[in-house]
Amino acid sequence: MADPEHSTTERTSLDDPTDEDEPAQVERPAVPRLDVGEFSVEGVIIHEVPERPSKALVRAGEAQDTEPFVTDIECELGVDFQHYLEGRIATSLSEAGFPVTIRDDTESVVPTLALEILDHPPDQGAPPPTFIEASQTMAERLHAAQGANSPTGLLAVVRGTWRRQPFVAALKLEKEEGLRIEAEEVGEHRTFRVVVERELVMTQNTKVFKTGIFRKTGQDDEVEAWVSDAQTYGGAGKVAADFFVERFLGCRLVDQPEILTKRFFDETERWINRAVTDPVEKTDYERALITEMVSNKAQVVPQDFAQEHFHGQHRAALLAALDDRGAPTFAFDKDTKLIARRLHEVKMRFRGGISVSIAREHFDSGLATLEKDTDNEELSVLTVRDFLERLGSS
Amino acid sequence: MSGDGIEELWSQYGTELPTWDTVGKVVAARLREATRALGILCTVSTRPKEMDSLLRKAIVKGRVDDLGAIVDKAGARVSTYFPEDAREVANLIRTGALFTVVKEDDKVAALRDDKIGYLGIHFDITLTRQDLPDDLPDVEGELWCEVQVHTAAQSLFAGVSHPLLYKTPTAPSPEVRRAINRLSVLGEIFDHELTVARGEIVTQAGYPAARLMFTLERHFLALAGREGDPETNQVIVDALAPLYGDAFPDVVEAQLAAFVERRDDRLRWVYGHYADGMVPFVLQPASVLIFERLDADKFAVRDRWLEAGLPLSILEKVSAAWGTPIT
Repeated sequence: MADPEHSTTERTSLDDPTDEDEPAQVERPAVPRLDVGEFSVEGVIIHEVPERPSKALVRAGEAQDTEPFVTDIECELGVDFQHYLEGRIATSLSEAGFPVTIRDDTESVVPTLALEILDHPPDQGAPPPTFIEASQTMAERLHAAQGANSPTGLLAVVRGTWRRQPFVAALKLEKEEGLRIEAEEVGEHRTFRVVVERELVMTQNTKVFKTGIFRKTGQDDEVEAWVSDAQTYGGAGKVAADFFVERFLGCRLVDQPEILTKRFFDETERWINRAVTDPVEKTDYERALITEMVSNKAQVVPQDFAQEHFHGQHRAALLAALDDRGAPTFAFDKDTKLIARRLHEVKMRFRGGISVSIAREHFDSGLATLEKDTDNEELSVLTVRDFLERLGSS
Repeated sequence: MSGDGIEELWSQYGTELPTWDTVGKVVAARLREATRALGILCTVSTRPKEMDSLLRKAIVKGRVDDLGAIVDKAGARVSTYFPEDAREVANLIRTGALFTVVKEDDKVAALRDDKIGYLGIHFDITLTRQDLPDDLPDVEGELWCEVQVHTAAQSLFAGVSHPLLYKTPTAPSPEVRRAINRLSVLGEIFDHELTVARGEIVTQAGYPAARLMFTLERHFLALAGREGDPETNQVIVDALAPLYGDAFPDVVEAQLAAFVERRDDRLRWVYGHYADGMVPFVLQPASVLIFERLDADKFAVRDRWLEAGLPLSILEKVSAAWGTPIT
C-alpha cells in the first residue's frame, strides 16, 4: 500500500503554492459553497427529547427508558420568533456549518422524511401534509440515536425557504435562557408556546444548537445538506457528533478530512506566499498555519483561524481566496496525513536563486530567524546562529 | 351644438371612463417605479377627467362631436421637493422609455423672462392598447394621458390659483388676478432658495459624510421604497465611514453603486422580508453601507463597530439578516 506521506500527489511548499505561472482556475472539484442568506421560516413544530437512562440501568431494572413528548400542531410563529429562528440558523451554519451528503446505506428515516416534506409544499399556509407526522418520527429517531449522556433537549423541526428554495431543518435546542418554552393545550392538540425573551435574544446568547438542514437546490431533484454542531464547535473533538450526523440525519461528510485539510493547507500557504509582502508577517502567518495543523485540536475552523492569527484586511482576503480556490471556509475535521512531511520543514526560495530547507523546530528554538533588513524593508535576512560543524561541496 | 351630441358624449365618456382611469394608473405606476429607481423623492398621483369637467371642456372648445381629440382625459402628476429633481423627471420622460411623448409644454419657456405664473412642465403622452388589460372598454382615438411635472411649491400655487382664477362664480377683477398670479413668485423664490441651500451644503465641512448619507438615501429609496431616520443613519455612517479610508467619498460612491448593482436581488429580498422592522437598522438607508462593508470585510466591520461603541448584538442580528453573520 502506498504511504500517503510519500504519495506522488503531495507537493512541497516550494511547488504549486508559490508558482506564479499556475493558472487561476482550479481543475479539481470545489467544495460546496455556503451562503446563509435569505432564510425565511414559515413553520416550526417542537418536541421534547428527554435524556435516556443507560442501557445497563434499564437492563438491571433500575430505570425505565424514556419517551419523547411529541406535540401535534405547529407553534404559533410570531414575527419575533420567526426572525429569531432565521438568525440563529444562519449564524449556526455560518459559524460551524459543513456539507454532508445522504448515505445510501443509512437506516435513519430522517432523509426520507425530509425529502417528503420538501416534495410537498405548504397547502395555502397550512403545513405540508406530512410535516407534523414526519417531525414526530424525527423526534423518536433522535431519541433512539442519542446516547445516555445527551441531556434532555428540544427538537425543533423548521420549514421554509432558504435562498428561495424549500428547506427543512432539524434543530436540537437546549432548554436555556432566551427562549421560554411552555407546553400548552390548544383544543384537543398539544403544542409548545414559545416566548422569545426580547432582551436576551438581542444579545444572541442562546447557543448550543445542533442543526441539520436539507434544501432543494432548484436543479432537478437535487438536495443539499448541511450540519452544524455548536456543542463540538471549537473543541477537541470532531466537527459534529456522530450520533447526530450519521445515526439521526443519516448523512456522512461530503469530503474526507484529509482532503479538506490538504486543500486548506495548500491554499492558505499559497495565499501567504502570494499576497503577503512583509517577510515578518509572512513568517508569522506560516508559523500560525503550521501550529494550527500540528495542534491537538481535532477540527479546523477557517473563520476563527483567520480572525485569531491574521491582521486587518488579511483576514477577509484569506477567506475570499480560500473560497475562490475551492478550499473549505467551513469547519472541518482535521487529518494531516497527506501533508505530514511538509509540516516538519520550512522551505525558502530567494529571488537570487538560493533555496534553503530548515526544520521548523529550529525557527521555534531561535537557531534560525527570518527578519526584515533594517536598511531596506523589502529585503529579508535569514540568520542561522549556531556552531558550524561541517562545510563541503554537494 | 346639438343636445343629442352632448347626450352621446356623456354616454360615451361614461363607458370609456374605466379605461381612462386605468390609463392614468398605468402611467403613474411607471413613473413611480422609474423615479424610485433613480432615488428621487416625489409623489405621483393620478385621476381621470371628471364627467362634468370633460363636458364643459368639450362645449367650450367646440369638440362635442370629437371626444378623441381631448387629450387630458387621463392625467398623472409628479410632484418633487427639489427643482433639480423635477428636471430629472422631465428628462426621464423625454427619453421615451416609459411611454410615447407626443408633445411637451414647458411653462418656463412659454413665460420667458418677463412674465410670471405657473412653471410646471406638461407632456401629452400615449400608451398602446397592449399596455392595458384586455377586458377594458374600447375608447375613441389614441390612449392619451397628460403628465404634469412640477415642484411641491409649483403644485401648491397651481392648486390654489386655478380655482380662484377660473372657478369662482364671478370672474376676479384684474387687480385680484394680478395678486393671485403674484403668489407664483413666492414659489419661484422658495424653489430657488432650496437649490441655493443645497449648493451651499455641499461646500460645508462635514459634507463628505452628508454626501455619503445622501447617496445611501437614494439607493435605499430605490431598493426599499421608504425613507429612514437621519439621526440613526448618522450614527451608523460615523461608525463605518472610516473603513473606506482616504477613498471617501468619490470612490465610495462608485463602490456603493457597483455593490447595489451586483447585489440588487439580495438587497430587495432583505428589505422585503424584514419590512416588519423587527431587525434593528435593516430599514435604514445606512444598512446599504453595512451590507457593502460586510461583503468586503466582516471582521473589519466588527472591529469598527466595537470601536464606535455600538452594541454588538445589533450587528449580530443585522449581519445574520444579510447572510454574513459576524460570529
